[in-house]
Amino acid sequence: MLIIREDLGKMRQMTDEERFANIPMMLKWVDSLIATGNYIKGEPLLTTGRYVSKDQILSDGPFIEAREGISGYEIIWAENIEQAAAIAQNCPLVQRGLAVREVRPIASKYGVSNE
Amino acid sequence: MSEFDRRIEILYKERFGQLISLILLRFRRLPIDWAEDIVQEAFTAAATHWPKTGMPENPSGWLYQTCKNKAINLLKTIAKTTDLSHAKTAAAAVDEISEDGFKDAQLRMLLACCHPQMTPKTQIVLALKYVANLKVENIALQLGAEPDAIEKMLYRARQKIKSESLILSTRHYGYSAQRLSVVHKVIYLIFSEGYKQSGEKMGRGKIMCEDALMLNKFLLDSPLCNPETKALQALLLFNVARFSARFDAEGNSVELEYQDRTLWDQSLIQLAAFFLTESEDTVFSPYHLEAAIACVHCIAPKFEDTDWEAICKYYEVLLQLYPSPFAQINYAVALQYNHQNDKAFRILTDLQQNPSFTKLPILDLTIRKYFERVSTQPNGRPGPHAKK
Repeated sequence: MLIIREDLGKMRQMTDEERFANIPMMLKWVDSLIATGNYIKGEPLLTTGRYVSKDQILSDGPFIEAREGISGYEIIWAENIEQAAAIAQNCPLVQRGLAVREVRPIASKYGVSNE
Repeated sequence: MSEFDRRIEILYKERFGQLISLILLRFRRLPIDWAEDIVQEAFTAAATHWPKTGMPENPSGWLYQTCKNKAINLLKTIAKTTDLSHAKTAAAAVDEISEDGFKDAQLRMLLACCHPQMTPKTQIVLALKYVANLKVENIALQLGAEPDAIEKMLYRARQKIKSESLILSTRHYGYSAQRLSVVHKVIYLIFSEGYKQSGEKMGRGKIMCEDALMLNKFLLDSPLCNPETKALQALLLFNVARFSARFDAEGNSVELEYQDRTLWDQSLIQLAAFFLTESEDTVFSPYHLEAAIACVHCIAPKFEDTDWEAICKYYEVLLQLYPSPFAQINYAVALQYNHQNDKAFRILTDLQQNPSFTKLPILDLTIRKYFERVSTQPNGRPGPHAKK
């Protein structure tokens, strides 16, 4: 990724200390803003012309907790749901009672879900 | 799927919107749905020709030339004099569009889609369709909507562009400052979609993440850049830094808990932290808070070291400012790790009872995972019954 390489060049010119100093600093200002409650003031939000909750568009995002807490589903080919269930039943984790497998047919051929 | 089909599919995902943008730039009177049909036909032509003639040396150039010829023929048949003269000159030269030309077309398309005369949601749907080349089903998933609704929205948007002659191609970036917020959101969603797919063998997901980074990098280097742009960059980089640990050799996703953290790219994490520091502002955008959350994960040496309390705190502020069921689901997971099972359970069941969220696949999976975690927690106990 060229874009990143270019920035990384700049980063390499900093010393390790300088780079590591950034991290606590950044969480500190986030925390201080939370602590003072400044973020709740509606006015600065409105005057900057950002879309605040009224116009907010609900969307998924690159959230880590839920998505990366689920290792995904296995996609298997089976003649019918009974056969699929039988295959799932043989999963070693299921056999040992450590996991539950839910079996569901996939609705369409393409792109419904890539997880 | 044959080798040709596969390569055409990749080209389609990469070039669809860029080609429409180039055609619209070339033939300014052409309505967007016509341009879309032309590009569609060019791909159909490729699918019939290439297996016979072999892959052209420059497939993207071939597609562009085919689109251009089709546009000229179309304009000739409807004989619009102004465009016809344009068409003649255009036909004379075979122009080569460089890679930069394609990328530039993509950026123009992005700024154009974020047209202030359309609602923010429509702008996003347009951009996901024509900039990120997402299928309607995937747009629907990202926005938690029905594919039909997205289809209708696109239809109405095209009608509006036509009836009010909104110019979708733009030469100047100067007046785009007011569009910035929506542009950020689009970049965020392109990244998010790529991030989900990044384990796929075709590497399409990774390309989308790169696209998003490239588009945001352009904003960073432009006078439009504001603290929100920097916070978004930080968020994207914190996630990119963990890429190689997220999938095993077979391309299966690895849960956060089991990711090999030595594979996380420390210099990218540092760079992300740098942008987050730079993004300091008196207000929070959602990207500020989401980047802070991602940062907490990135700086934990081991999964057990994760500061879940900080993460929960950031989610609380995020939800207060920008309520969203998607953020709530993630908040619930963080709460559970912070030993607040009951609260997590209540959030998840409340969401489940809301009919508009029952179709979110991630909610279903998270609830199942909730019970799995409860059963493996040392002092685990099931959540309370909904009625209390």
